[in-house]
Amino acid sequence: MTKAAKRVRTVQTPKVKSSIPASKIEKAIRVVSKGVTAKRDGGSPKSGKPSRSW
Amino acid sequence: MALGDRYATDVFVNCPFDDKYRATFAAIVFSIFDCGFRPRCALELDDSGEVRIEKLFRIIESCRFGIHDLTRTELDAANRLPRFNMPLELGLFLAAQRFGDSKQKRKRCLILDREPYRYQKFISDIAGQDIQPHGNSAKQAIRRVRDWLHNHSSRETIPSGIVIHERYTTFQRELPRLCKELRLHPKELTYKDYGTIVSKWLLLNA
Repeated sequence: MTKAAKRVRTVQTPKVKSSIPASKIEKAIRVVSKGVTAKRDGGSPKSGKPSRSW
Repeated sequence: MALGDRYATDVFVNCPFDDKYRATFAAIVFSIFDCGFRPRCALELDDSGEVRIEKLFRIIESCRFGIHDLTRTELDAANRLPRFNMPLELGLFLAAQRFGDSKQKRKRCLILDREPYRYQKFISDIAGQDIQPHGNSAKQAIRRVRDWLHNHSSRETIPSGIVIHERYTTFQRELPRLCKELRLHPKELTYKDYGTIVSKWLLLNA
């Protein structure tokens, strides 16, 4: 994706939202994504082998 | 009824909500969010104070786009009867497009099924609509939804189907640990929780 395209791209928020606070979800995503990034870079993931199931 | 400014971005998803379809539904919802649109569906309807069909009218009226999956034609295992809700909601959507005002006439509709041309055997009257097979594959469903939204919107920022599928695979890999952090179980995620997590994940992983 070009820089211009990335700049105007938006992600909609859902019509009905989770009762879990947004800040808690964001924190969890940052923790998990950080672990995945570390694993990709050769470091240690925060937790064990991920499952592909939903 | 006055419609909000979300009409052009809202996508009505009319599909089965059973366990067998769960993976395809998850992929379609992810794909809609990643294309910059907002999924809407009957799972929003948990307020018992309104008649269900009225709620469906309201959602259908407020969505320019509609994705209708006619995959589930089997008889129910318990009562040996078919489910007619999905063809009914497709009919409501097409009627709104046909008989509604100028805004409703701008509606666009994608019909999905698991096999090409199978619909001719059970709902041949929809011939001429945009009908696409997905083979019960999340990857194909993502591609169909993405290509259709790209064709019918003026968006130039929609990633290709392969890019969306790669992101979806990454998201699916992270989801069990995300759920663990949130003290949820992946198999018991509600539509509200799933949509909110997908939306936030895409914002943080753009």
